[in-house]
Formats: sequence, C-alpha cells, structure tokens
Amino acid sequence: MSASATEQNRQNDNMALTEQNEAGLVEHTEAENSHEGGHTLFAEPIFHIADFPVTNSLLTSWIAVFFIIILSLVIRTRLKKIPSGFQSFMERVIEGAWDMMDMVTGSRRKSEQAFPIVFSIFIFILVNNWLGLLPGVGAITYDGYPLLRGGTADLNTTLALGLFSVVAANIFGIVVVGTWSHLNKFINLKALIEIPKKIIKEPTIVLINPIHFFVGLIEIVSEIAKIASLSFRLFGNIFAGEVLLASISAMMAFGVPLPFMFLEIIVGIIQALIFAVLTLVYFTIASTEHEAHA
Amino acid sequence: MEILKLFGVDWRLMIAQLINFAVVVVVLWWFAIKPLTRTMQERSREIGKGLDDAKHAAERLDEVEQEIKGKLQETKKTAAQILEEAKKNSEITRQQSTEKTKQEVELIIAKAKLQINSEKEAMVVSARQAVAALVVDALHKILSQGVSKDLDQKYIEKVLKEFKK
Repeated sequence: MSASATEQNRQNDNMALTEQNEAGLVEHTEAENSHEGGHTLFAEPIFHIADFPVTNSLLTSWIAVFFIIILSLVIRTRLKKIPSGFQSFMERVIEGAWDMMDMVTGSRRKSEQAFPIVFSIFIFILVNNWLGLLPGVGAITYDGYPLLRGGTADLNTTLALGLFSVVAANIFGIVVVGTWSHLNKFINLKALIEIPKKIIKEPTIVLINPIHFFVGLIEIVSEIAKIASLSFRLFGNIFAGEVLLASISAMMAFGVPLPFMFLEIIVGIIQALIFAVLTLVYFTIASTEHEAHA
Repeated sequence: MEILKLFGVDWRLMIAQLINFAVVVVVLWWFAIKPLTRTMQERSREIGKGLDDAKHAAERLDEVEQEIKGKLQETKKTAAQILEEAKKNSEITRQQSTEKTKQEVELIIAKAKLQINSEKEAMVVSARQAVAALVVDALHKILSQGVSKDLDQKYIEKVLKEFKK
C-alpha cells in the first residue's frame, strides 16, 4: 500500500463527507472534521488496505483485542489448582458474574450458556472504553488526524455489537424454545390459527388474537429499537465522555480533568455492564417467554 | 439511512469490528473462561469429595472408637477374669506349697529330733562309758595306794550301782 494511495483514499473519504455537508446532512465543517485533536462524530480513516479504510477506532479495537489475547494467555499459562492472586481475582470476577447473571436468568444453567457471550461483550467494551481514556489516545495525531480513538466512540463498533447482541439473543431463543415457538413471537400465526378452533367456545378470541398478531409485528420493531438503543447509548456515553475530557483539558490541562477521568473510568465500567446485562436480559426474554406458552 | 452516514457507519468497518469481537469471544472462551471454569469446577468437586471423605473418615473413626471401646471393655473383663483365676490359682498353689513346706519342715524337724535323740543317746552312752572308765581309772589310782582288794571291789560295785541309778 503506497502513501499516495492512502492519501487518495483519504481525499475520497473527505470528499464524501464534504458532499454530505453540502447536502446539509452534516453540520460540522470540513475544518472541524480534520482539525488536530478535535472530536468528530465518526472515526477518521488513518490508512487504507486496498479499499478498506482502517480508522483510528479500528486501530484501538485491534489494540484492545491484542490486550485481551495477552490477558487470556497469561490466565491460561498461570492457571493453577491452588490459585494465585491474579487467578483468585479472575475467579472472583467470574463467580460474581455468575451470581449476577443468576439474578437475571433465574437459572444457573442458562447463565452458564450465555456466560461466554455476555462476559466477552463486557470485557471487549470495558477494554475499549478504558483504552479511550489513556493519555495519548486522541492527542497523538497522524497526518492531522488522531491516531487512536476509543473503539466504542465509533458507532460502527457499538452498532456491530448491538446487532450481534440482538441476533445472538434470537438464535439463543430459537435454540432453547424452538424455531416455531420463537418466530410466533413476531409473526403470531398461532394466534390466527387458534381463531377458527376456539371461536365457538370463546367468541372474544376474534378480537383478542388479531391484537396478539399485531403485537407480534410490533415486536419486530422493538428488536430494531433494541439495536438502536444499545448502540447509541454506548456510543453516546463514551463519545460524550471523550468530548468532556477534551473540553476540560482544553480549558485547564493540569489537575482539573482528573476527577472527570475518574468519572469516565466509572462510566466505562457502567456502560460495559449495562450493555452486557441488557444482552443477558434479551437472551433471557428470548428463552423464557415462550417456555410459559409451552 | 442518512443518519448512519452522519455517524460514519460503514458495513465493512462493522464487519471488521464483528471479527474483532469474534476473536475476543473465541480467545476468551478458549484460553481464559473454559480452563478457568474447569479448574474451578474441578476444585469444587475435589473440595466436595474431600468433605465427603472427611465425613466418612469421621464416621469410620466413630465406629472404630466404638469398636475399640467395646474391645477394651471385653479385654478388661477378660483380664479381670484371668486375674481372678490367677489369684485363685496362686492362692491354691500357695496353700499347697505352704502345706508341702510345713510337711517338709515337720519331716525335717522329726528327722532332726530323731537324729538328735540318737546322737544324744550315743553321747550319753559314750559319756557313761568314758566316765566309768575315768572313775575306774581314778579309783584304781586312789585305791592302789591303800585299799584292800575286797574293799576295793565292794566300793566299785557300790559306785557302779549308784551310777546306774
């Protein structure tokens, strides 16, 4: 990949954004997009691999993945039957997570089934959130753009995670309660089929079951809303945090941003926890609601 | 869809982030969660087994203690019986030996008495003889100087008679 090709791609990206600006869709100016150390709503491409733009958020995510791989290998290699300090800490975290998940699922078996996904979501988001707070992230620039940007301060990351969360919850629901039962939650054919069967015994079914069918259709919308709420909540909180820190640092670089840094550390944990718990709630809803019908 | 463009949403970046997340899931599951949970389960299983074993051991210990108590009491009884029998036997033996010793002592005393008597008699006889011989010798010496043969004879006989008395 040559430097000229990268520059060309960047110019293309900027041209696309300029077009959006001209169309009145993006209110910030090109200068805002490219200013050094500034915060844009989107992650800036740092370089390109063929046509694929590698953004500063993607770079941070790769670092996060690398860090998690190292952490996992450390856990694997230092694993002992009689746990050391670090292993004890990890075991406590896992046991705490299981207990917390049990409160949501109401069943240890379900908690154990959902645990790998939910815990991975938590760790991935947490590491990305905290990496975004490290000194240098957002401050070190490359060709006028921040070299690194919090992975979760990019809607691409949060949207991908939100999409994964909702799709995985539905797959989990299908696996646990069966395809027919799960799909009837959205397209409630069962309710329509029941009408001719029970109409004599329960004449009110003519009114009730079409409502059930319509509620099913609304459920489809709610699934999309789940993706939007998950992704925008996380993105909004983390992006706002970064903007807040940048603004405070711009006003007073020393000392003053410190309480806000602590605040953002807590926000990082809370947002990771909220995302993971909501994912677990979706998993639980997908697997329990239909059990009652069964 | 325009709002997605505003936020720079790009399906290729989303797929890249999904791949990142998939790597995280696989790595965390394979290298951290699975071995860690397996170790925790193995440990809790071993602790459970240890507790069970300890419970069994305590129960077994109680049983053994009861057995020991029972056997100890039995042994005490047996020992008491043996001691009683030994006492009886020793008493009998002692009585027998005492009896035997008494008899032997009596026998020895009797033998000694007999021996003493016989020795005494022999001594008396021998003493008499010796005295008689002495007397005879003495009288001979005395009488040889002035007493007649008849008187001497009479005197001797008289002395002998008195001596015999």
